[in-house]
Amino acid sequence: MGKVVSEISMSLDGFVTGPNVRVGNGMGDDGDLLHEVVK
Amino acid sequence: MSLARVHNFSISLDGFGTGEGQSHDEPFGHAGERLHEWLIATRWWQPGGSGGIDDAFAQQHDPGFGAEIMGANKFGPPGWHEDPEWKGWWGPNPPFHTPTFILTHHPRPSIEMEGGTTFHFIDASPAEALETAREAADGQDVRIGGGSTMLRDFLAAGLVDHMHIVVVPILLGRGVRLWDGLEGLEKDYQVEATSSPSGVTHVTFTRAGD
Repeated sequence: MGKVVSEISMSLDGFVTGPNVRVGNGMGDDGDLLHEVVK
Repeated sequence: MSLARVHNFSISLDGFGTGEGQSHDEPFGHAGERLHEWLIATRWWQPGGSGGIDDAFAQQHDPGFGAEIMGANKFGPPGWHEDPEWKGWWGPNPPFHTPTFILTHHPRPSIEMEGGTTFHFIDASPAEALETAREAADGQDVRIGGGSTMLRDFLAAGLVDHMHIVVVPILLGRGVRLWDGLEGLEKDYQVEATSSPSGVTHVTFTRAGD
């Protein structure tokens, strides 16, 4: 049976996006800082 | 220069430095000992303990310090200031061995303990307290001892030169948070993270340029 998995980036203080998430700003303001590790 | 340093400060994965419901029987509230199991397991804490990464970080708690500052909530359970006999958690020979300043709105006469620790009780701002502790430290560093509320205040005031945070992979869900109001703190520091085989992550903040 397939497992449900999650891989997610989180800031040290526990946020997974910046503020103001909307279409075209999916990670929120400055949210891309969370994903520099996979660039 | 005399640095203000933090060592062995443990937080949960969701950012709490202590649990909820601190009391005489449960100094860290519902967190119990879970935030400090990594520390208790080290050789620094007890003979025969582990001598690996966790111990190497833990050992830095001691050398080079001439004073400590701690918040009222580290010195005793809620309401300790109403007990004139309260002398801290640590018995007759506390592990500080220097002048130790307790921030409190209820100052009392200083207490000289065994082993070089003298407790001084001061009602002061973080900057004032650090100035006082630096004078007492006589050129050595000042340990910023926590708990979460006082450390957050010292960080917000820009007073911390070096900080060692240990992220423990548990979710406390409630308690006292460390990081509130510190957006962008990392910009002032070189930040390194070291994962330990024990499961904790050591995160060091070193002020850029020091």
